[in-house]
Amino acid sequence: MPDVMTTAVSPDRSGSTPFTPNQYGNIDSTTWNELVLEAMLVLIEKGQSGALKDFVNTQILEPKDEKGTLLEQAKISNQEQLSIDNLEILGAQLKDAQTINALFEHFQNAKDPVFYKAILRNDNLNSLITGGLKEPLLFNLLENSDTNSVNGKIIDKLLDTSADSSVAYINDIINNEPQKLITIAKKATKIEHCTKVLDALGKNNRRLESLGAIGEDIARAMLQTKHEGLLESLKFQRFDITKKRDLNIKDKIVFAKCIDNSTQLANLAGNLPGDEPPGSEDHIRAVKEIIDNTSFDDEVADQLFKHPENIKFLEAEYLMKLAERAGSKGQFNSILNANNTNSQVVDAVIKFANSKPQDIFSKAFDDLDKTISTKIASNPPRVVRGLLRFAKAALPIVKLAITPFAVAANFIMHPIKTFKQIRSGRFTMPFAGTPTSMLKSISKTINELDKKEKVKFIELDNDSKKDLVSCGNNESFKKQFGQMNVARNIESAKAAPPAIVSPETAASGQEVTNNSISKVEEAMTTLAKVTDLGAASLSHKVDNSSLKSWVDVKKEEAPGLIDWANDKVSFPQVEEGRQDEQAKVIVSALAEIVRLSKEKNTSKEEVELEAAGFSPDMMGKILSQLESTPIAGLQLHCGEAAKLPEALQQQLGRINDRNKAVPYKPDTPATPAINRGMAPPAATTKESPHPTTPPIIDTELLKKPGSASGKKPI
Amino acid sequence: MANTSLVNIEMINDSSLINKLNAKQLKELALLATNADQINKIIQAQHMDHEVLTVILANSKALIKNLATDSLLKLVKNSIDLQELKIIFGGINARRNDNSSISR
Repeated sequence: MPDVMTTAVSPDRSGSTPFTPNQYGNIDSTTWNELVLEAMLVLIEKGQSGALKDFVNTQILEPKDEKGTLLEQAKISNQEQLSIDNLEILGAQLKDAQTINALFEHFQNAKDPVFYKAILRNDNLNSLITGGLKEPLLFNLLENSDTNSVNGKIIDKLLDTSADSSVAYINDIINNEPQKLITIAKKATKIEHCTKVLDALGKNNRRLESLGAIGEDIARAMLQTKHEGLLESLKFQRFDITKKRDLNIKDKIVFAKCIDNSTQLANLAGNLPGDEPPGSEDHIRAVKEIIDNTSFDDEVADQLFKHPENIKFLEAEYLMKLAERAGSKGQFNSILNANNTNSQVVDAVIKFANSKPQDIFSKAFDDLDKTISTKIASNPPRVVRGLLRFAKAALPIVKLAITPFAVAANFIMHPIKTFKQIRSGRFTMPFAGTPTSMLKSISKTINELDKKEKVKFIELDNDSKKDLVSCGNNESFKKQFGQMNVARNIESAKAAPPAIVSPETAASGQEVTNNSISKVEEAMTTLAKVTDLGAASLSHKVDNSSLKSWVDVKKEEAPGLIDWANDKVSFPQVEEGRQDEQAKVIVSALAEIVRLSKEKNTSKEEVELEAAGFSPDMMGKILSQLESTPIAGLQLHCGEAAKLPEALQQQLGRINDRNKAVPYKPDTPATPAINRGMAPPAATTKESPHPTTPPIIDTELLKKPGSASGKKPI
Repeated sequence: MANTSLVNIEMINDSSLINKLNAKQLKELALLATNADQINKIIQAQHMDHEVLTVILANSKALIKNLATDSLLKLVKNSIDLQELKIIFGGINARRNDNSSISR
C-alpha cells in the first residue's frame, strides 16, 4: 500500500494532473475498473453475489443524474468501463446469472472470448445456465466451448422448446440466423441435442432440405462430431427414441447427400422407411442421393435392395449403378423388375452378373428356373425379356435349359406373334417339352393377359388356339387353358357385345365384331371336343423298361417327345388327311426307339412296344408302313383296349414274325425309312438363338392347318 | 470518556502518530474530520477498519467524492455489503459526473 500522505497529494495513477473541484482528479478507466472489481469481489466474498445485479444496475450502469445515466454517457463517449482482465475474473467467479447477463449486455469487453471462456470455467456454470443466462450469451458460450468438453446444458437450454422464450429464439434463429444451428449441431454431444435441432426445424415446418446449403452444413456437423457413438445412436430411424418420432425423410435426403462414410450410408439406406412408405417421391430422391454418394458400395446397395419398392421407380442410370453393386439373384431381379429397365440396364445386369465370382451365383441361380417361371407369370413382357437375357447370361454357370424359357418368354411378350411363329415353323421348339411348372406359369400368365387384354387375346385365330392346345403336351395345361382361358374369353366377348375395344385396336380404328366372337366360339367348340375326348395327344405306352436309358438320352435331345413321368413316348395328334404322312413319322420313331434300345442293351432280346390309342384306320396305316419297312427285333403289341380288327391283328402278327427274323445291324439304321419323316436341323431363330435338337417327330406335320381327328382310341 | 480528550484533529497531521491510533481512536478522529484530506489520512491509517468506515460513511458522505483514489479503493475493500458500496459508489459516480461535465 503506498504511503498515505504521499498518495493523498500526488496525481492519480493515470498521471493526470489533479484539478479542482476534485484535487485528486478524474477517476480514470483503470481506477474505475479496479473499484468496480473490488466492490464486486466484496459482495462475492461476503456471500452476497445476489446483490451484484442490484449493484451493477444501480451503481455501475444506471446511476442517474441530470445528464442521464452513466451508461448512456459511456455509450456516447464509447469509453471502456471494465477491463477485460476484470471481466475475466468476474466471469470465473460470479454466481449470479443476471449479473453476468448485465455485464454481457452493457460492457463492450464482455463480448470478448476471454469473458466467455472465464464463464465456462466458472464452477457454478450449471447453475448459471439454469439460472437464466440469456441468449446470445449462451450461444457465445457454446461457440467458445471446446468441442470435447461442451456443457450439454447450454444446448439444452438454448433449444429448450418447452419455454416460450426458447421457442421464440429458435424461431428467430431458424428464420434469421439458421447458421447458428450449424454451431449447435457441431457442439452436440448427445443424440438429444441433434433431435432438438431437427425437432425445432420440424416445429417450424422447416427441414434440413429447405435450408439448402445451411441444412447440409447442419447435417455434416452432426455427422462429423467427434463424439463416438453419436451417429450410431442416430440410427436414422426412431430418431427421438423417447418421442417415437422418426427422422423425417426430407432430412434423410440431406443426410444421404452429406454422409462420407460407407457404414453410415448403409445405416441410412437400411432405415429409409419411417414417416413415409417406400416408393414415395421423397424416398426415391433419398435413394438417388445415396447412389450418387461417393461412399456408395456393395454394403450400401444391399440395404437399398431391401426395399424394391424404391428401386422400381429409379431411372435407368441409377439402375445401372445398382447393377454394378448387385450380388444376388434377387437383387438383379429387382433391377430387372424396375419400371425403367431398358436394354442398357439389362446389358449392365448381364455384364455385372457375369463378373461376379461363380461361388456367389452357383447358389443364387440354383432355382433360377423357378424364379423365372414365377416372374414370367407375374411380370410384363418387358421384364420377361430382361429375365430371358439374364437367364442366358447365367447359362454358362448353371447350365439352364434355356429353350423353354425362350419360348415362354416370347409367348409372354408377343403371344399372337409367337403363335404365328410356331405355326410358320420359325419356332422349332413348340410348347411340347416345356416343363410342367413352366406350362403352369404360362397358363397363369394367359389368365392374366386374358383379364387385362381380352380383346388382344381373343384376336388369336382359331388355328393358333388349336395349336396351343395340341402342342401343349400336358393334360393339366390343356385343361386349364381350354376350360378357363378360352372359355372365359368367349364369355367375356359375349358379355360385352357388340364390340370390345383394346387400346391397340382403338388406336388402329378397328373393332372386334360379332363375327370375331363367332370365330372364337367355333374355336372353342373344337377345343372342347378335343378336351372331352382326352385325345389331344395320343400316347403309346412303352412298357419295356429297357427304354429307360434311351428316354434319358432323348429327354435332353428331344424333350417334346417324352412324357417323363410315365415313361411314355408321346406322339402328336393325328390329323385327318395326313394319316399317311404321320404313319411314316411314327414308324420312323419306332425304328429309332428299337435301334437306340438295342444299342443301349447288350442283350439281343426283342423290343416290345405296346401301341394303344390309335384308331384302326391309323393302325392300318402304321402297319402298312411297317410291312414295307421291317424293323429288326420290333415286337409291336396292342393293348386290350386296342381291339384291332382280325385282319389287322393277323397283319401285325406277320410283321412281328418277320421283324424277329431280320438280323439286327448295330452300325446301320434298322431301316432307311427311319429318317424320312424327320425334320431338318433346327434353324436358329431370332427369338431363340440357341440351336435345338431336331425332334424325331416331324414338327412340320404339326404346322399345317387341320382339324383334330376326333377319333376315339382303339 | 476521559480518554476521548486525548484525540484531537491535530493528530491527523502527524503521520507517525496516526498510525499508532487504534480503531476506536480513529473513529473518534473521523468524527472530527471536516475535509477530504483529513478523511484520506484517517483511511490510510494502519488500523483503519470497518468500524472506522461506518463512521466515515455516516458522517462524511459528502466528502467521499473528493477522496483520493487510493482512499476510495480502501473504502471499497473494507466495506461489507451493498449498502456501504452504494454510498461509496455514490460519491465515485458523483465525481465521474462532475469530471464528465467538465471535460465536455
